[in-house]
Amino acid sequence: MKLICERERLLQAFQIAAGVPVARTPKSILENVKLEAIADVATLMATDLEMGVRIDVPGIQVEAGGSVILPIKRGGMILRESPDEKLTIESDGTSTRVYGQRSEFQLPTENPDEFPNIPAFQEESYHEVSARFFREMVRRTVFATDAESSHYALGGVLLELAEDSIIGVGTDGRRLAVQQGPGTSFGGHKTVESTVIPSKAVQLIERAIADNEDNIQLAARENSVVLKSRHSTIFSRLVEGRYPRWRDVFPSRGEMVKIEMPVGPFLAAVRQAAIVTSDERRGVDFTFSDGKLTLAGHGADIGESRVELPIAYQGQEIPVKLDPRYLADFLRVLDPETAITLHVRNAQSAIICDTTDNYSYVIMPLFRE
Amino acid sequence: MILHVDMDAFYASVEQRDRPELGGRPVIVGGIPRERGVVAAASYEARRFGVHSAMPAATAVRLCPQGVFLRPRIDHYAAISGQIQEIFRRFTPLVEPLSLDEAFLDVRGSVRLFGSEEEIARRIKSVIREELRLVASVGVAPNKFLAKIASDLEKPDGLVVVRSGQEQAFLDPLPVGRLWGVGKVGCRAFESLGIRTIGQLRALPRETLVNRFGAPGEQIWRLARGIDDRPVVPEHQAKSLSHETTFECDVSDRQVLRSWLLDLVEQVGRRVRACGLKGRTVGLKVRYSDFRTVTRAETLGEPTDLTSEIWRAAVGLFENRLPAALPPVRLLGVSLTGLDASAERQALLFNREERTRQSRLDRVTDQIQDRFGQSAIGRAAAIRREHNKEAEP
Repeated sequence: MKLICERERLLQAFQIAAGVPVARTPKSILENVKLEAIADVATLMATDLEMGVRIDVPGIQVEAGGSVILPIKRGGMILRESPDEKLTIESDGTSTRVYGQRSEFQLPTENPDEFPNIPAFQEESYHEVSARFFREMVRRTVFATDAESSHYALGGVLLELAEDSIIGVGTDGRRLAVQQGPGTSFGGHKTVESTVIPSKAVQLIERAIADNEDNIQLAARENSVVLKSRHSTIFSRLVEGRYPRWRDVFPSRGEMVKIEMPVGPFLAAVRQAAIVTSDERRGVDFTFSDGKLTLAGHGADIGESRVELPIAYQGQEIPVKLDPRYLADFLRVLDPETAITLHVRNAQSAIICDTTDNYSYVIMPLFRE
Repeated sequence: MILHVDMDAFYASVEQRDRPELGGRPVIVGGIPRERGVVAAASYEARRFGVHSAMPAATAVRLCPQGVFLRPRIDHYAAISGQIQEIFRRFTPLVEPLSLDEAFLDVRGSVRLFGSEEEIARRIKSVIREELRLVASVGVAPNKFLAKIASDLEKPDGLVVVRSGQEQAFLDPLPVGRLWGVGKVGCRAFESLGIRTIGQLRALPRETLVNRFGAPGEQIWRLARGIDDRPVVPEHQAKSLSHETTFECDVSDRQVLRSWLLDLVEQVGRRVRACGLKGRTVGLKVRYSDFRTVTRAETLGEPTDLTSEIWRAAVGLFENRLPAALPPVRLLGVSLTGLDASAERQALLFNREERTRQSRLDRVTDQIQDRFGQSAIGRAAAIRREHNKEAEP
C-alpha cells in the first residue's frame, strides 16, 4: 500500500478515530487504527468492540491500494508533530514508513486482516436528523447522565425516535434533561425498546459530526446503534438495562408558578451562592418572594452567602432547597442572552426549567429529614 | 484514663448463658463440620483443646470431637452488644465500639461521679455480670494502646491497670508482637536483630526503625514508649465507622469470605442507623496472609444507611476490585466513611419506593432485634455461612 496525503486532513480524521477508548481486552490489535486506501479515499477505522468508527478522507493520492495498521498513540503523534505538509504512507507488509521531505518514521506493522471489520452504513430503515441539532441535543443531555448507576441504564443518552421527531434524555436520578426536535423516519424506522447510547460513544459522535454537515442518518437496532454522517460511520453497543419511566418525573405544570429568568444573571447568582457550599452541605436555599429571588448558602464551617436577583413574581413566598451544581450544569449549556421559564411549586416538589426551543430540565430538591 | 472492655469468648459465652446445659462444656460457634464452615468463636473449655476462631470446623471437630457445634446468631449477639453499650453509656458518653464485643471508654470526666477509673472498671464488669450474666475483661491505662494490651493480659475475667508513670515498666517485658503494626513478619525481622521484648526494641534509635520499616517504623517507635494520643471518638461524632475481623487461620474460600463480608456489612449498617448517620463511601479492607493490606472504596451517589446499599457496594468491591486469584486472607474489614449527620438529603426521581421499602425493612429489623434480642427476622447471614452458599441481603 502506498498513499500520499495532506498531513492536516489525515490528522483531523485520525484524532476522531483516536477518540475511541483503548480496548481493555488483551487484543493488542485494537490499540491501532486501520487505514484502508481504495481509489482516492483513505478510510480510518478504530474500535474497542463496544463502539467503532469509520472515517473517510477523500482526495487522497493512492499509488497502491491496500491496508495498513498504525498505532493509535504514535501514529497520532507522528501526524501531529511532523513538519511536512504532505506525507507518504507506505507499507510492504512487514514494516510501515511514514515520510515527507524533512521527516521519516518507520514503524513495525501488524496484519491488517486481523483488525475487526467495521461495516459501512447499509441500513434501509433509519432516521434523518440535522447534525447541528443532534450535536446540540447531545451537549444538552449528556452532562446529566450517570455512568455509575447500577439500578437503571442511566449511563448514556436515551433516544426516542418517532415518525417526525427525536427525543434525547439524560438523567442521573436526581435531575433529568430532555431535548426534543425534528427528525424524519425512513422505512418505518422508530425506537421501541429503550435505546441508550453510552455517554462515551455519544460524545465521540458529537466530535465526529462536524457542524457544517447537513444531515446524519441514524439507525437503532436491538443492541446497538449505527450512525452515518457525510464522511463517517459510527456504531456503538447500547447500555444494557431498563430506562426508568422518565415522563413520570415531570410534575404537572398547570399547578406550578411560572417565573421568567434571564440565563446569564441567573447563572452568575447560582455560582456566587455555591461558593460557600461544601460536600456535606450542598444545598442552596432559593426563596421566591415578591419581586425577588434570594439565594442563600450555608457551609458548615466555611461561611454563608446571600445573593438577590429581581424577578417578575408577586405572591406567596416559595422556598426550595437545591443543589446549585445541578442548576449550573443546565444554565451553562444555554446562550446567556436567552431566558428560561422556571416552574416552582413548593419545597417538596421538583422544579422544571423550560427553554423556548423544546428543552426541559427537572431538578429534585434537597429536603430535611 | 481510658478503658478497653473486651467480652470474653463473646459468642460462645452468650450461647452458654442462654442454654445452661452447655455450661462448662466446650462450645464452638461457627461452621457445622460437614458443611465446610469455619469457627467463629470457641468457649474457654473448647480452647483448651486447641480450638480457636477462624479454624476450619473440620479441624475443630478433630481436636475436640465432644464439642458442641452451634450456628452463630449474629443478630442476637448484635442485640446483646447494644445492651452492653447501653451499660457503658451509664458511666460515660465517650464510648467508641470497635466491634460487637469490644469498646474504648474515656472515663476521665466520670471520676467525680463514680469513683476512680479502677472502680469504674470494676463496676462495669459487675453490672455486665449481674445484668447480662456475661464476663468481660477490662484494661485501664493512660491511652488506647496500653488499655487494649492490658485488657488482653489476664483474660478471662481480667482487670489490669496501668498507672501513669508505669507505662515503660508495663511494656518493657512484653514481646514485640504486642505492638500494633508488628505482625509475624515484623517479629521475625526483630528476632534476626536479637530483639524479643519491647524493652529491647526501645533501645533502637528512631532512624533505624524508620529506615527499616518506613512510616510504620515511626509508629512502632512511639508505641514502644507507650505514646498514643488518639482520642476516644464516640460514634455520633465519628467521620467513619468500620468493622473488621481477623481470621486466625487464613481464609481462601471466596464464599466463606463473602458471608463474613455480609456479617460485617450488617454490623456497620446497624451501627450507622443506631447513630442516626448516613455515609457516602463504602470501603473494603483486606489483609493477605503475607500482611499486605489493600483497601478499596466506592463513593455512592447519595449517602446511605441501608444495609442493602452498603452490601451492593461492598460485594462489588470484593468481586471486581480484588485479584481473581485471591491470596489467602487474614483480615477482612468494611467501613463507611463520609458520615454525615446533616439532615440534608437529595430527593430522587426514580427508585423512591425501593429505598423507602429497604429503609423500613432495616428499621423494623433493628427494632425487633433491640426489643427481643434475637433473630426473629434476619438476612440469614449466619445460616448461609455454614451452608457456604451465595450470601445476599
